[in-house]
Amino acid sequence: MSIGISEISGTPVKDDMATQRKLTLDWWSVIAALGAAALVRFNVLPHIPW
Amino acid sequence: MSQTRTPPPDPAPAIPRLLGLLPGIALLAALGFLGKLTEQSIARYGKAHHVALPNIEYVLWAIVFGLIVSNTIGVPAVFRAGVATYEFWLKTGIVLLGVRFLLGDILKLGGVSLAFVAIELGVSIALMTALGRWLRLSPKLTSLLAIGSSICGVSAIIAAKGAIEADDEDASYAIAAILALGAFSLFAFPAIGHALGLSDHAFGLWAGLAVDNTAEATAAGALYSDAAAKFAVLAKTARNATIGFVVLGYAIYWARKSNRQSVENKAAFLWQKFPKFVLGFLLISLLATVGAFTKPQIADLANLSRWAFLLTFAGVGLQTNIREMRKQGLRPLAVGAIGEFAIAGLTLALIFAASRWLGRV
Repeated sequence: MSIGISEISGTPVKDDMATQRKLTLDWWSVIAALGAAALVRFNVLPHIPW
Repeated sequence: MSQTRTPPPDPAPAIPRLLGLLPGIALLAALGFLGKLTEQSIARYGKAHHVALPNIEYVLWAIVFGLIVSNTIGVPAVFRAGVATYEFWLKTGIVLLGVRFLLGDILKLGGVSLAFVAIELGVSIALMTALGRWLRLSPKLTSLLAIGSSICGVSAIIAAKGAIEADDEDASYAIAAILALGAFSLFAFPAIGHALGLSDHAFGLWAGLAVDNTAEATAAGALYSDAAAKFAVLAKTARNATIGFVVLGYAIYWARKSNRQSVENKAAFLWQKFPKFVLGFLLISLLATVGAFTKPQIADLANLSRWAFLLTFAGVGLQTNIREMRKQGLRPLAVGAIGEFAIAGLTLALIFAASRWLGRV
C-alpha cells in the first residue's frame, strides 16, 4: 500500500483520505471566513455582539 | 505534477449530507452557549450577592459540559458528523482572528515564534525518539509521537501516517496519547501560568509552543485571557506552518529505510501538506493592515471568531472520551507525558530567556 508519497507521483491512493479531508476542510474554513468578512465589510451582516 | 485523487468515500448527495451535520452543530452551539450563560450567571450572582466568586471562563464550561456528555451518555450517532465539524469552526475562527493582527506584528511575532519552533522541533524530535527507543515502542509509533508532539498534534499525525506508511493502530495510539496530554494541558497550563505570574503575551506564546493540538492550544490561551488566546494562536500557527518540512523529512527517512521510492516532487509535497488556513489568516490580517475594515467591523469579525471558537471548545469536550484513551495502554502515554513535560519546561525556559524581546514575562 502506497500512501501520501505516491499521491505526488500519481499512483491512486487509499489511506490518505483523512489528510485530503483535512486539506479540503482548510480551504472551506478559509472560504467561510473570507465570506463572513465580506458580509461584514459590505454591511450585509449587522453588528455581531458577543 | 499529476495527481490522482481518491474519490470521496461517501457518495451521498451534498444537501442531505449537510443536513446530517445540523444536529451535531446544534449540540456544539447549545453546549457552547450554555458555557457562556454559566459564566455570565455566576458573575451576575456574585455581583448581586456581593460574593467574590472565581471567574471561570466560558471556555472551561463548554469543555466540561462536552466532557460530561461524551463520558456519561456518550454522543449519539445522529450528532457525531456535526460534532466532528469542530475542527472547521476552529480553523474558521483562526482565519477570522487574523483581523486582530497587523501584518507587521505577525512577521515580528511569527519570526520570534518560528525561532522558538525551530529549537522546540529539534529537541522534541530527539527526545521523543530517545524515549520511544528506551520504552521499546515500535519505530513508526515513535516517529508519529515525535511528529505529533513537535508540530501540531492530531493533524500532523494524520498527515504523517500516510507519508511513512504507519499502521492504523500506531496512529490511534499516538493520537490518543496526544489528546490525553492535550486535555491535561488545558487545566495544567493556565494554573502554572497564573502561579508564575506570566504576562498574556508570554503565556500565549508558551501555550502555542508547548500544547500540541491546535484546539487545545487555543483553548488553553483563551482560558488564561483573550489576549493570551491571540498569541497562542499566532505561535501555534507558526508551528503548524512547519508541518510539511517535518513530514517530508520523515517520509524520506522511512522511504530510504524500507528501500521504497522516495518523494519525487518535494515542492509539491510541501504544498500538499501545508495547512492552507494559515494563508487565510495572513490574508485577513493583510486586509486589516491596509484598512479594508473599519474599527467596528474589526470588532464584529473578532466576535465572530469567538463564536466559532465557542463551538470548537464544546467539540473538544465532546471528542474526548477518557475510557477510550485508557484502552490505548500506558506506554505511548508515558513517552508522550515525559516528552511533553520536558518540552513544556524547555519552551518556558526559552520564553524567560527571550523576555528582553517580549517585555515583562
